[in-house]
Amino acid sequence: MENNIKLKYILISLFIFVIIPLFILSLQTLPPRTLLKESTSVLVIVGFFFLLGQLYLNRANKFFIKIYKMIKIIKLHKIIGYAVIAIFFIHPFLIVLPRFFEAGVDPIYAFWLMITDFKSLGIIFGLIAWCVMIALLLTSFYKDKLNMTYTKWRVLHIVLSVVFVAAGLWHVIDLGRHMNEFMIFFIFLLVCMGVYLLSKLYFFKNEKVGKVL
Amino acid sequence: MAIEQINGCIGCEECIKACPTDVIRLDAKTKKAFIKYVEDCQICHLCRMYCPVDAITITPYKSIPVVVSWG
Repeated sequence: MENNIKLKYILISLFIFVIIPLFILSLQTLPPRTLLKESTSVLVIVGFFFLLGQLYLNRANKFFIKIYKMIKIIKLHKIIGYAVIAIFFIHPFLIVLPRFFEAGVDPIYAFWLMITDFKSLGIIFGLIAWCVMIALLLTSFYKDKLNMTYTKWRVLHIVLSVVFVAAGLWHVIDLGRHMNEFMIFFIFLLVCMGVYLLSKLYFFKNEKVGKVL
Repeated sequence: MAIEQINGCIGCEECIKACPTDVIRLDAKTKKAFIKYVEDCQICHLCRMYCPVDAITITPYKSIPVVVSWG
């Protein structure tokens, strides 16, 4: 019975963070591209939604804490976090990857042009998000080596995460090939709910949720 | 029609420089390239080939049927 409930929540999570985005994606009438380009797009989009899911995989989520043990949630948070960072680490290179198999501009020149084009706010916010993501990775990986208490580290982690999500959000809305009104609304909804959930931990400490763990 | 869509433009203007028939222009407000004179597109693919982020899609179909002279 308990396993069924756990499975139900996993399926609901997958439906929200994978099926709905892919469904919205499938509604768009974009011209077809090569399999490589479409695959990288889908990988990055799914990765982005998993990233948004991280806002819910923490101690602020009362529903999950009731069903799963906190240690399991943190473990899953870590696994998804590192996997998503791996995707977004190579994301800038994935954009120019098809250039190796097509005629046209040299992929290295294209990459250089892309990251040095500071006229586009989308690119600037993308670069900020990428750098903050590296900071998130390093501060998480070397958490024990930092001279910080766990509480202070957690605040740092949340601040970096919110900056990362905000900068990343601007980047995807401005430059995302698959962005439309539904997708933007859905992303905003997930972000607002996730940030509200997190803010409850720190700004509404009198509530019971702040005392979990 | 030839050039179909520009999605995810970063405003580097490479396509504008590459286009031999001035089909693409830069929107002064958004700082992004847009298709201004689509009827002038000669389907040379230069804009697509010079775009660093692969933002340009060119349809494989021509709107103007090929005219064949029968003598």
